Amino acid sequence: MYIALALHPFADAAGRSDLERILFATAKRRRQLSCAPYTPDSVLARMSHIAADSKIKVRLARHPATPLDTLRELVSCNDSSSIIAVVAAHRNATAVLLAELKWYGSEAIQKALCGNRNTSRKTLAEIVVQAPPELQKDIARHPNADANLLRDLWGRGGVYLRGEVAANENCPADIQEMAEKDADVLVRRMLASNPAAQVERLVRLLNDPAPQVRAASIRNLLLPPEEVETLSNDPSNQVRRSKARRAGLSTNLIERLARDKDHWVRRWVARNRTTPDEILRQLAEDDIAEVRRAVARNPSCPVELLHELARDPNSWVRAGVAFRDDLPESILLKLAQEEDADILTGIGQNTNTPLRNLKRIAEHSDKDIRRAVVLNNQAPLVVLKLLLDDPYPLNRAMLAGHPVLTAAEHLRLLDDPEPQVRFTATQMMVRKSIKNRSADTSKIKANSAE
Amino acid sequence: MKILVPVKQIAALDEDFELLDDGTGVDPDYLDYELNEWDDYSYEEALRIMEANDGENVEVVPVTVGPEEADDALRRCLAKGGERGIRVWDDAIEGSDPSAIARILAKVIEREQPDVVFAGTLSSDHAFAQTGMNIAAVLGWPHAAVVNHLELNPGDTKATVHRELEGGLEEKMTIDLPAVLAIQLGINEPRYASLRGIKQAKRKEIEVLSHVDIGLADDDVGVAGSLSRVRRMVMPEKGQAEIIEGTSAEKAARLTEIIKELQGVA
Repeated sequence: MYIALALHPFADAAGRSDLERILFATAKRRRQLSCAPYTPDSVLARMSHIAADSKIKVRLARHPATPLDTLRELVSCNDSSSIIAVVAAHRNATAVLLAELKWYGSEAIQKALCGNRNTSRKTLAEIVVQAPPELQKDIARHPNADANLLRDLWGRGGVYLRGEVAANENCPADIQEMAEKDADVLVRRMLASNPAAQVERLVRLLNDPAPQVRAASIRNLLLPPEEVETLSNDPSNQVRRSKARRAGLSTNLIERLARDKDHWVRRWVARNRTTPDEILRQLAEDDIAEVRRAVARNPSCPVELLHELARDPNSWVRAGVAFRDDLPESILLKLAQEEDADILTGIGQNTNTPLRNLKRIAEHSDKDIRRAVVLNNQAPLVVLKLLLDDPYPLNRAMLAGHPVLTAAEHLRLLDDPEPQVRFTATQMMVRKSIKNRSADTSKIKANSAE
Repeated sequence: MKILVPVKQIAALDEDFELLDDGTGVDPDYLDYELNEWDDYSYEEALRIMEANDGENVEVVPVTVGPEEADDALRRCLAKGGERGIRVWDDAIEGSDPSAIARILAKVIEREQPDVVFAGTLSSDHAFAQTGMNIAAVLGWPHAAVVNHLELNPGDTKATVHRELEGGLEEKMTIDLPAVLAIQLGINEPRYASLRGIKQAKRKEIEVLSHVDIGLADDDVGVAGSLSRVRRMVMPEKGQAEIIEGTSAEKAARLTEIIKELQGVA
């Protein structure tokens, strides 16, 4: 069944008909396929034509891969509110389809529409007239809610509703002004997080008495980095942590934050790409292992520091080094001798790890360490072959999708006892075959042109 | 030494399942079948004892009560180790409760004469947690339930077991053999069968017996031989649970209200 499933999208009409005799042979299979995440949309589309069972129709409507045409068909042939509500929530449902749905009298359909990003402003405006409080918040949050709609919702009161209005990027300037002066911290915080807030407003919010508001303002990327400097020595850990994450801070400020008493602040500085080398060196000797690891994970960390961190007494720090793609071979080989699971996982995934070390990891007794090699998209075929017989089904299932495997390995995996493995192997074989055929066709055309 | 391991192929529910027309169970169309999770652990424990002795003089035999499809559960075990399995079935066995199943397994045990029986503490579908202890009662054997640690070697006349109790407590016992031990999750880390093992398991012997073959009559099994009977299976009315939605602040506010209500504070 799983091989037939993988072949279906690539087959012609006659071929699909043969495959469907296998796929839809029993009611149980149809039910299973209607909700399985791996079911291709060609199969879902076919099922909507043949399935009479309402449970299957609901599953089809809920399936994330169900295409628009199938959704349209499900709606046109069913007036069940449960199916319509599920379609109303579907990401593939366009604004045009959503506008056609009959939502009056059904809270479930209204809720689904209010939560669907594709629902038009017009539909939202119709629903809002009699919408209960929970739906009002969903509408206030919606990207297609325009200024007039937001103004209407602001006037209906309720701190949570006002907060959602203030956070919406379509929030009009007059409402933003009121939100800035709102007595409730939540509303001012939501305003500070608004991706379309005016910069001057964000600057004013930097002086808000509530630390949550100041932190939200700092986190807003519209706020220029130089404005962040004005908040030196903020008493709130939350504010200083938000600062430490910003790029483009002055060296002075970074130095101060690197000596902060709160280790989360130091951690964010250590991870910040724009932190200068000398400060990273200082943080590489921090008492807290997580700070040192953050240095190891910083893409800007200089090589000489990596040598030092590769000798760190804490294995979690050394593991942070192991995951880097830019590791010098000397460090890589040293870490490859370790036994710690996190370190070996990093080495296994590293595209520069030498063959003999990859082999050792591929033959490790721990299944999770072995999987690291599968995740290495440049692992050589000779090593991947060692995993074809891996006892852990997940490892084989992930291996089946590895780009380095050839048709010979995929053919072997068609015999695997695990259905997911057979499915993925078939899919890969067919895709590669199509790609090769297309490359051959292009080559032939190019030769003919010459 | 022979270790007999009763295993069960349990039924896992599909979503949107339907009940049978008579209301006594779930429509089989909505069930998927797999090996009971507890039996993975009990079988693994048996294999470890076998391997600790280089496989010499230790035989591990999985046994199940079920129709032909239950062979899958046995082969899944045999793929990890062991050379043969036993399945007992007859249409008359349909509808057996744990006491009837225990009666059947006790007969197999009498026939096989193992030194110890490892059962799972319970099965995840019906969750009676009775079969292991019922077997011991029928046989009149020593028994221990919820075993999370075991010390046992071939030739021993006693086993040392730890039992899991509430509050993180453990009870350490010595138990005479032969005995029935109901094994708890977490006693070990079950292995995954190798592909080679899976292929080899297809060729291993599964002896199929009826209840008559092991000396039981129709009245000893099935509904007639059971002490309990399922009258009805229902989906209870929902309404006790509340899903709290909204932002973190809203959820926190609602949770505070609920806690105050429960504490009797206005």
